[in-house]
Amino acid sequence: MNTPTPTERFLRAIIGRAYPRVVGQNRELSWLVIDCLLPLLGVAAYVYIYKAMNAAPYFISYVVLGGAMTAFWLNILWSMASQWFWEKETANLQIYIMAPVSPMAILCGMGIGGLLSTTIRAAAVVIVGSLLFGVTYQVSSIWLVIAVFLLTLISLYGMGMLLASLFLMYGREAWHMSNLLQEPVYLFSGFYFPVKSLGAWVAGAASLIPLTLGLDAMRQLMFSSDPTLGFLSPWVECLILLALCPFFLWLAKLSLARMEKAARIEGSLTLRWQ
Amino acid sequence: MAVVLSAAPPGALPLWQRAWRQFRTASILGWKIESNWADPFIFAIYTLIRPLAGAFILVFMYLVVVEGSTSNPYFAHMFVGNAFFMYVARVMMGISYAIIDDREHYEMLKYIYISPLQILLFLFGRGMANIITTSISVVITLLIGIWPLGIQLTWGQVNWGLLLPSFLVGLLALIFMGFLLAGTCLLLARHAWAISEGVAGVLYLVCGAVFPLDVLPFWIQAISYLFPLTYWLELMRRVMLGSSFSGSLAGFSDWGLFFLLAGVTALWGVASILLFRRFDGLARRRGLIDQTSGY
Repeated sequence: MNTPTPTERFLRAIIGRAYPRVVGQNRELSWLVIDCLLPLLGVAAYVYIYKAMNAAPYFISYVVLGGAMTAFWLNILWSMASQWFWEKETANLQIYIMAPVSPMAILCGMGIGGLLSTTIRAAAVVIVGSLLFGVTYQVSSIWLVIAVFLLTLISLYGMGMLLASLFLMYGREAWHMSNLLQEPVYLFSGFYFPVKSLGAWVAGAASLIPLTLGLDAMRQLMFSSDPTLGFLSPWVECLILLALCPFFLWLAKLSLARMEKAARIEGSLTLRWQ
Repeated sequence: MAVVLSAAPPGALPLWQRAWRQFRTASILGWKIESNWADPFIFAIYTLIRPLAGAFILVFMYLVVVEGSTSNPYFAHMFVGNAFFMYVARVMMGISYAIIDDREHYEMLKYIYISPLQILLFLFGRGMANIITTSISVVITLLIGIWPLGIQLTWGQVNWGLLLPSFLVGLLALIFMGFLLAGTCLLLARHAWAISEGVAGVLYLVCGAVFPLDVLPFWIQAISYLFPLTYWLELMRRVMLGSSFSGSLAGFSDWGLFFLLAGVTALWGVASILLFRRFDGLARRRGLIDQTSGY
């Protein structure tokens, strides 16, 4: 039998970890209903807030797109960042660490598997939200929209891989950390309003979260809205996202190595309830 | 020889004392579970940051559209409604999530069931920690609303006579709704965690927490009148700000709205306790009390 090369093993591990995420989603289709319905409720509430204030129609478009992107942030928090904590609780983590594959490959697989199902959910929110609330699109550059979207997701899932190792160190605080990071990120990344209104300093700091720049760029490129509401030009935002991708992947690799070393020294990987 | 069976063994505590002991123990347990993962300072930050972030999303949505001052009465109504809505998700979740937490995570629900306590009293106690922490969040959010956001909320304009009874009846309504959700969670495995959040999302939309009911389509308005929270949120705005937010409820006097709230809450109370008992019986018969599903 041929021994797989390290690259083959890496790719196999990615597929192996992505597989249960994709298949699991198909086996439990009711999750799709819940995952599409819950963000839609929030989207509808925020749309009615704008409607009650007689806001310009593009604010409703902003809410629909922001509401769809919440699916990705929730996936990062609950299915990436907290995942290794759950795996530890169910005694899977030590098996992952013992397996002759890189933890990066497992996290990549987790990210890719989650990404596929989350994209379906986000698309459903955009389609249903657009139909319900009459959102109109005026895309200025489809290729730039696609590039921004993909770069946002790559850097975001890189950030998710980094958070996964950090949250593991937090132990049972991981659940609370995920809870804590939900609304504040909705606020600072401008999920429901233009991030520019937070002021240059706060919006600049919030740009470390890839969704901030991704959302801002996509809104500028997809809707006919007030051009003064954009934070930076979409091209600049695209370039920053391009830089954030390797930055988060490198940080994740560093953090994983550190987590693994610490766990081996302290022997804490198999300890539940910590 | 005739044998007399008494309801309680000799020397047992009176009913009210046993009830108080069960409630107090469940409350302490709930508090420990909620708070003992962090030192008090971090826990205080955790308690405040999430609700404040939610409130500030509304602030920026308002400012970006109106481009004016937050001393506008419309903003005050929106802000106060949102502040009191914090109780909805937290209290309902505190009660219903106790089922999931004790069954799936700590795997203690089976032991709680075989111990001599009233399960509804236990669940109420478990929700108590959330009531306390949410109250702190609500007070601080309202204080931030007054300063620096400049909401016109003065000591003299608050209807103090109606504030406490309205608040308590609303809280009771939330506890009843929590019981209903807890009963539902007993029968569910995979979606139990999403139930509380989903219901809170529906209520945020249909009860006019942050916008007047009048902007909703007619059929959603009709649904909103079924929930006590619609009347509660409107009443809390009225007693604190002195004016009405929803045109469709403006015809009711303050006390009229209070009695409407009390009546709808009583109906929900009866329905939720009966349904909880029904779901509880089904869960026992189907052997679901000790199920773990890995979710």
